Amino acid sequence: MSVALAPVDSVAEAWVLGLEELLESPRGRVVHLISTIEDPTRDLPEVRAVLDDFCASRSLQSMETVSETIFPASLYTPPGVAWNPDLPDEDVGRLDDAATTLYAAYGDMLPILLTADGNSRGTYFSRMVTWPGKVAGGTNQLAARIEALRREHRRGRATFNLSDIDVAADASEDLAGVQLYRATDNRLRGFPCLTHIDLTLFEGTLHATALYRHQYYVAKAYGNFLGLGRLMQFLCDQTGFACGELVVHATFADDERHDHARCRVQELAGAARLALDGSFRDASR
Amino acid sequence: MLTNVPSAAPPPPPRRGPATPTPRDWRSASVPEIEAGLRDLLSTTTGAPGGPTSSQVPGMGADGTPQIASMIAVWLLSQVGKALGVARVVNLRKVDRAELRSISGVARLLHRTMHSQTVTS
Repeated sequence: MSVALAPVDSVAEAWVLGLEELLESPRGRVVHLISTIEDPTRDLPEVRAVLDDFCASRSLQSMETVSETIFPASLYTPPGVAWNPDLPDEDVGRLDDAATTLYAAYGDMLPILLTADGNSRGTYFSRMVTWPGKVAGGTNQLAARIEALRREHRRGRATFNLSDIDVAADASEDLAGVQLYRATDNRLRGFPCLTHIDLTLFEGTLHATALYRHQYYVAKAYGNFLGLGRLMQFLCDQTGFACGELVVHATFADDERHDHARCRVQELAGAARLALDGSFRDASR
Repeated sequence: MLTNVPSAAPPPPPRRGPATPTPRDWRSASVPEIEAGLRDLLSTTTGAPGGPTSSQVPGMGADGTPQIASMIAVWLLSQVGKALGVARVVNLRKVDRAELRSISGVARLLHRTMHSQTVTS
């Protein structure tokens, strides 16, 4: 049943392709839907606006809000410099302070964030920066990955062999992924749908694979792609590697026709496709 | 080895405006005064590396004031909570989402929360 969609170069196009694929399936559900986004930092606002309008009409979160559960971009002003082994100490300090400020700000917010529906077990970002994610001061997986990547960069290593599966965040000193799923997460539905982010450094470029156990294509997928791309950009700025591909593997993808009616989701896909094709025409002029 | 990054924030950047209200000020402030305090908080941190990005999103909120990202709204709530010595100053489950979309909305939410006597030092 697996479907590997053709690689595309924007979050928007990846989402449109995925939704169209799901609408073709008899029940709007596909096992192992795999999206490859060659430039996960690239978005097409006109496509996102179509989806945001649809979500707003149904009192669903905007894709910006969804993306911030993975990377809170509105809390983070990039310092305007990317790390490299020869960066002056002052600039390294600015990069480190920027990251630390972000982590600290999120830690301050965490008690309030946990009161939101669906957040009682933590948020994706809290599980990344203060594992297991419910209080500040936990294990910071992102800081550890940044430290490891900078170490590889200093050593002049541009390709790093990785563990294929990280069951625990502290599995080894090697460049590991980012764990988001705990053994005690026994829920059949709901958080966390994103269970793991694997990081691969190859020829100086950092790639990521995100594993979802359930990808909701109307309410969440676009925002998830957006957030993952921003997370990758953050890691690349902090470590000096180029930003590579994002592969999103949804072991179960759902076009949510049962919640929104197939005809409405079909209309949404049609409007998004128009916006996407329009952006291609504009770009070719 | 994994790194445990402490949760303590680095020293804030130099202030450019009036001092942030004291806990007594927040508690006794009117909605417009709280709103001014929140704007001051944002103006001293927005755009600094690692700090909140430009606080406004395009468009006006339902209350007719400039919109902000909901994450910024929660950040503002957390900063006021820190000043008051209260980690969880609001329960988001009980908050109208529209109030998190503008500084005025956050100010009204804080004012109502602090005057409901549910916030204690």
